[in-house]
This record gives sequence, structure tokens and C-alpha cells, in this order.
Amino acid sequence: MIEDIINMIFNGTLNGAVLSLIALGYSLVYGVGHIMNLAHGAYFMLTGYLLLWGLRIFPGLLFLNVIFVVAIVTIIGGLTYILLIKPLQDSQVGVVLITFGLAFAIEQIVLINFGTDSVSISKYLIFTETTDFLGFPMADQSIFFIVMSLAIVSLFALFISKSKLGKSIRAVSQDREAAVLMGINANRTLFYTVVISALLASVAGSLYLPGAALTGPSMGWSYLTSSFAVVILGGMGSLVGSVVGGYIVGFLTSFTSVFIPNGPSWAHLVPLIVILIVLIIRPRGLFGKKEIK
Amino acid sequence: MGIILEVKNLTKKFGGLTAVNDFSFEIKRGEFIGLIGPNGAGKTTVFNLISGLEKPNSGSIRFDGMDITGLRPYKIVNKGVARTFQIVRSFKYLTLLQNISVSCQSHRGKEASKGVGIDKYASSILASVGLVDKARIPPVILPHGDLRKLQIGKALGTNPELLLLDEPFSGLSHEEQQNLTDLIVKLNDDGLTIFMTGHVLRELMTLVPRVIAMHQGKFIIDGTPQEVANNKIVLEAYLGKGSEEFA
Amino acid sequence: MLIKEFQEKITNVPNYLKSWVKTFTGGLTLFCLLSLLILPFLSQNLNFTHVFLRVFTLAMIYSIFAASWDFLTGISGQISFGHAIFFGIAGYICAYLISYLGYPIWIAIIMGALGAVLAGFFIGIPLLRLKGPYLALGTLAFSLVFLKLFLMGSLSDIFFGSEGISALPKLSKDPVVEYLILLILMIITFICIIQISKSKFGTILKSIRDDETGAEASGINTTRFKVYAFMLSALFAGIAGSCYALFITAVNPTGNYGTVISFFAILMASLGGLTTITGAALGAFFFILVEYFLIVAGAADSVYLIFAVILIVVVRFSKQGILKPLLERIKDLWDVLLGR
Repeated sequence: MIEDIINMIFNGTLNGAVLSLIALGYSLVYGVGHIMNLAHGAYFMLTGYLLLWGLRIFPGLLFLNVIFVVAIVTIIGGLTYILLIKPLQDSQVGVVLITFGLAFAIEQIVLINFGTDSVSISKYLIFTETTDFLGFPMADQSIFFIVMSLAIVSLFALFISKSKLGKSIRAVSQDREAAVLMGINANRTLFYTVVISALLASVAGSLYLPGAALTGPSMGWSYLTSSFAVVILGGMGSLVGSVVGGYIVGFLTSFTSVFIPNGPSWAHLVPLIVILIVLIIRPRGLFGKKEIK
Repeated sequence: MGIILEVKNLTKKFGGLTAVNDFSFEIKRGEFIGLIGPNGAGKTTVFNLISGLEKPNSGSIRFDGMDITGLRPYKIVNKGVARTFQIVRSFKYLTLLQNISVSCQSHRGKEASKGVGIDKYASSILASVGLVDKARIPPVILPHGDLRKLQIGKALGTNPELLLLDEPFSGLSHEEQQNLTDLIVKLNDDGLTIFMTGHVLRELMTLVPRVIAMHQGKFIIDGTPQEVANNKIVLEAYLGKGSEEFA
Repeated sequence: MLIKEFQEKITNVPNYLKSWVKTFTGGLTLFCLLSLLILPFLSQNLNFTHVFLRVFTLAMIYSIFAASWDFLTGISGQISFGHAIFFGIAGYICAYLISYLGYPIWIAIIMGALGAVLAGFFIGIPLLRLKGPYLALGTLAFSLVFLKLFLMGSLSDIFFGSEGISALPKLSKDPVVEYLILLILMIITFICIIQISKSKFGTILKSIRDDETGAEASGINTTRFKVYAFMLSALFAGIAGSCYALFITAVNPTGNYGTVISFFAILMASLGGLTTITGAALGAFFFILVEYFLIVAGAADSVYLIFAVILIVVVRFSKQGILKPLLERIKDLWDVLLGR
């Protein structure tokens, strides 16, 4: 019993750690540009598979691979903005359609090259041991990841409140026209926002996925839906909401996994049920506002 | 000649900002009334509260004796209150005739058009606002003045008893303003109660016999244009922004 | 009053048809329909009738499906990314009724479609307050719930698991008859959807699409009409879904609830031109035929990738869809040729 509870808490925290990072970027882009980048989950998934590819091409250069892959995905994020999002800014439907198409295309490319089987990229693990806590083994990498996730979120909070770009981001998310009148380049701000969101997703992927596994190119959609659930729960555009929501969804998922009969299969449905419940009861979520706070 | 609209202690807060503060007034059937106040005074919010687009935090709104506070907009329209918007809106991809025929399909509109059929009814409304020759055109290519007329036409399609006009003259040329004024005056002459907002005193002074003034969400004064124009608080509210607005 | 209008309309039909055929689009449509009518009889070759013809039949099923999507998204403005739900529910209900309860085929198809309508009602209501991308993702979430629910091994007693239901009968043993049945269904569906779109009811839906607040301010109960739009769209999607189940003779979660299906609806309607309805048919035929030729050419793996790229290009460069402006160019050419 105790083991189960620790299991739930540990995995809940782990889930929360990864979801909050992914949702943070997703929410950021929505808050600043009022657009949803449906390719966000694909960035996360692509990171994992590019790392796999790196294993095959440059098996010895693990660290460099990571840097390289994160850079590539970040650049892809930037290109997504320049080529696809910016021209369609006026149409929310258009952005959703085109990023959907992009996510699909990325999934297909990965599918063609790697198939649907589960693969592991555990070679990238920084920590391979486990630590025992009251009989429950906790992977060191996971502990490391949770710490890193919290650190990144804190750094990000600092960045948003203190840096010049952070201030621009907050301004544009509150009132784009006013920000432009004050001399802020809204376009460039949105560009950087998308780039940062891709960066966050990619960093999360490179630290988390070695400890998990790549369950197939379609895993991007699961993370996208989970991300959406987190952001809906926390409130679109609220960064605090993304983090809090991430941990709530994370805990709900691990609770379901551990304590509900046939848990792991029901766990897949948790984000979706969260989405539906929130949309029906309180569509603006917990901290829903238009500005970034 | 009863009271058609009774607003009591209306209050609306947005976060920390109180947009409408304990606002009360009455309008009698058939009147032609102006609501003035500088930009940001809360005029559009009052309209939004009356027409159901926003729900008040407290206070009540009664139309023709019925409590319409917080009802859904379409229900309020079907009780007899129609409005136009400060920023012109239209159904971009429909023809002018279709724009109006939509309102003619509301409950009240359907009742009113029973005899002649919706298309004919919509046509006659289009004619009454002077746009019948553009019936088959979509709003995209219309000049601003025509769009304002279209808005009024859409409101008329619901056969209203009270018409709320939100800044109907903004962005219009002098000739367009005159055109629109004639139309509005005629509607009032025909029995429609009209409640109109504006933030420039000049246009309202000559037009309406009674003005309600508000500033920062609060009621200031209710009287003739003369009385309002000479009121100290009103002067302060406007002079703070630039005396040429008050002339 | 209404009956008189209806009578007037009916007597007008022959004249209307005559003048319609003379227009470019009318003539072209008639030409296409006639070609489709003649097609099955062009060859007795078994490969032709059992393989090639069936590709067209599939295209017609998807035409109906894509048109139903265009009705919901293009005409009523409610973006659906989970249209597979209606497709799948109808297919499963139809399959279940035939396999387990022995219902006759046509009753099962209708019941399947009605099941989809109910789903449209129950899904529309909670999702109604959402707009734009939120609605899109809400519908996507719903369709994923269905997909996962039906895939769950632990629930396979109720939902038949990943095996689904198989060994269903076909619409007809003769593929030519199957083809013709679908052709008729497709024509009827399109006439219905187009007439609804042009009616006063359709105008209200379009007004909600163009400016929902404005429609509400015009005294329209937007909630009710949005639910109607969902239910009508689901009806036609359900017809397509039931027919598809019988076409493939089986139903299973990925095959009937897969996100690919929702993707196809979006793809086909977008290529053909949002709001045009007929564009959905053009898009459906285009993609199904392209898919067929790609598979025959040995590029089966890249099919979806190519489609995704086409979607990206189409959305990026033309919101009207590519086929409609293309047709307009051809029309201009035609006019020039005829000296107009």
C-alpha cells in the first residue's frame, strides 16, 4: 500500500514535471499570439526520434547529439512561425489547420523512417541507477528530470518578469495594439515565443524520453492532448496555470494508473476527460485570463 | 405612455475596474434620449448590460415591466430591445437582404412578417433605410455610412420597441451624418423609442430633447441638453480631455 | 402559406434545371454525373469492376462524409476535428445491428445514421460554448476518447476491442450495383445539403458563422441552431459511416474512429473549397484516386505524407481551396472560347 502511494506521488510528480514544460510553451504561444500550434506535440516526439537517429549515425557523440537535436527542433519551431503561422495570423482556423497538417507530416516522416515499434533511447541517460525509497525504486534520471524541470520553470519565471524580451512577451499578451504603439515589435516577439516554446519542448524531450521510451510516432498526439488538457485546466495563457495544471493532470494520471482496476489503459483517457469536464463546467480553467501572469 | 426601460443600481466590475457604478435611470415610451460621457465613461458597457451581452454584478433592468436582467441576448431582442454596435458588424458573406432576413427570422421578426413573407418584409426594411438598390450586394464593398444604415436595418428586422444606438455617427462624413440623422428622427417620429450614445456633445445637443450624462461609470445628470452642457461636473469631465470637444 | 411556396418551387424545378444546365458549373456537374453513370458499364473486366470501380465507390462515400464536414465547418462555422466520431458510431451501430441482431441492411444503415445524429446532439451540447480552435480541439478530444475506449482490451466485451466486428455483408454482391447505390446516395445527399444551405435556415447558420454575437443580437437562439447544425452534419456523416462499414465489410477502432478519417474530411473539403459543398466531392475524388495511384505505383507509405503536404500548401496559399479558383480559370477560358 505504502509502495503504491509512493509510486503514485513519484510518478505524478514526474508526469507533472514533463507536462508542465510542454504545456508552458504551448500556453505561451497562445497567450502571446492567440493561436494554437498543433505541431507542439510533434516537436517533443521529433526530439526523441532525432536522438534515436543520432544514435545510429553518431553513436559516440551523445552530448553533441543532444545539443544538435535541440537546436534543430528549435529552428524548426522558428521556421514554423515564419513560413506557416505568420502568413496566416488573421485566421485562427487557418493556423490550426496548417499546424495540424505539419504535425501530421512530421508524424508521417518519422513513421516512414522508423516504423511504429517502441524504441528506447536509454543510451542518453545521464543517470542509470535507481534510488530506493521505502522499498520503492526511483530512477535517478527521473529525479534529475524533476529537479531540472523545476529549475527550468523557475528560470523561465525569472526570464518573463525581468528580461526585456520577457516584458515584451507580457505586453503583447495583454494588449497587442498597445504594445505595438509602445514600440514593441509584436511579430518578432511572437517569433521568439514560438522559438522558445519549441526549445522548451525539445529540452523536455531530451531529458525525459531517454528514461521513458519512444512509443511510436503517434505519441506526439498524446502529448499534445495532454498539453491541451493542462492548458485548459490551468487556463489558456496563464503560465502559473500551465505548471499547476501540469502537476494536477500528472497526479490524476498516476492515481488512475495505480489505483483504478485496469489503470494503465484508463490512464490514457484522463487528459481527455479533464478536457471535457473543464470545457463543460468552467471553460476558462483555474487561472484563465488573457494576459500572461 | 408608460415607462419602457427602468434601470436600477446597475453595477458592473471587470476585475479591479468598476465600469458601471450604481447607475439608475428611466426611459418613457416614445422618447428620444442621448447618453453622453467621454471615452471610457461606460456607455457601451451600459448598452451591453441592457442588451444582455454582459451580466451585471448587481442591479436590475426592467423592460416594459418585465425583468430582463442577465437574460441571453436573443431573448432580450425577442422582448423588443434591439441595438447597433459601436464597431460596425455585419454578416460578411451574406447579401444585404440576407443580413436583414436573419433578424426577420427572430420570433418577433417572424410575427411581424407573417402577412407578407420574410423576403418582402426584409426588402421593405431595406427600403426604409435607403439601401434597397444594394440588396444583392455583400457588405464588404459598402461605404461606412451605408454600413451604419445596414446595422439599423438589421435591428429593425426584429421589430423592436426600443432601439439602442451605440455611437451611430462615428466615422461618418457630414453628409452621411445628416442622412442618418434624418432616418433616426423619422423612426422616432413613427413611435420607436430611441436611446443613443455619443461622446461629442455637438451632434446630440440639437438632436435629442433629453440627455443623461455619465463619467467613470457614475451617473452625473439627467436633463435637457442645455442643463447638461452647463453642469459643472460634465464640464470638468470633458474639459480635462480638451475643450474643443465641448463647443 | 408554406405549402403554396413549396408548390411553386416544385413547378419551377424543370425550368430551374434547364437554366442551371446552361451555366458553366451546371453543365460541368451534369457532365461529371453522366460520366460517373456510364463508367461502370465501360468494361466487363473483373479487375476493373472489382478493384477500379470500388475506388470510385469509396470516393463517393468520402464525398458524402466530406460534404457533411463542410456543412458543419464551412457553412455553420463550427470547426470539427473529430468528425470520425459520427462516421465510426454509425458504422459500429450498423455493424452490430446486422451481425448480432440480424437487422436488414437498410434499416441498419438508417439506424446507424440516427445513432450518429444522437451523438451529434450529445456532443454538440457540451461543446457549444467553444469557438474556433477550442471547438476544434474539443471535437478532437472526443474522437480520441472514442478511439481509445473502443481500443481498450479490458472493455472488449462491450466495445469489441481492436478486433471490432467483421464479416459484414456488402451493400450488394455486385460491385456495379454497389457503385450505383452510392452514386444515388451521393446525389441525394448533395442536393439535400445544398438546398439546406441555400434555405432561410441555412442563412441563419451562415450568419452564426460570420458573426455569432451579431446573430444573437438579431434575435437568433444561436445555441439551438448550432445543435441543429451538429445533428444534420452527423446524419450525413453517419450515412457515409454506415456505408463504409458495409463497403469494407468490417468495423474496427482505427479503421472507423481513426484521426486519419477526421483528417481526410478536413483535407478533402479544404482542397475543394470550404463552404462550396460540391468542392467536397471534388476533393474526395481527387484524394481517393491519388491514393489509389500512389499505392499502385508502390509509394503506399508516402501517401499520407504527400496529403499532409498538400494540406499545408493549400491552406497556406489559398483559403478558397485550389479546385475552385482553378475551375474559375477554366470557366473564364470557356467564356472566352464561346465569345462572351
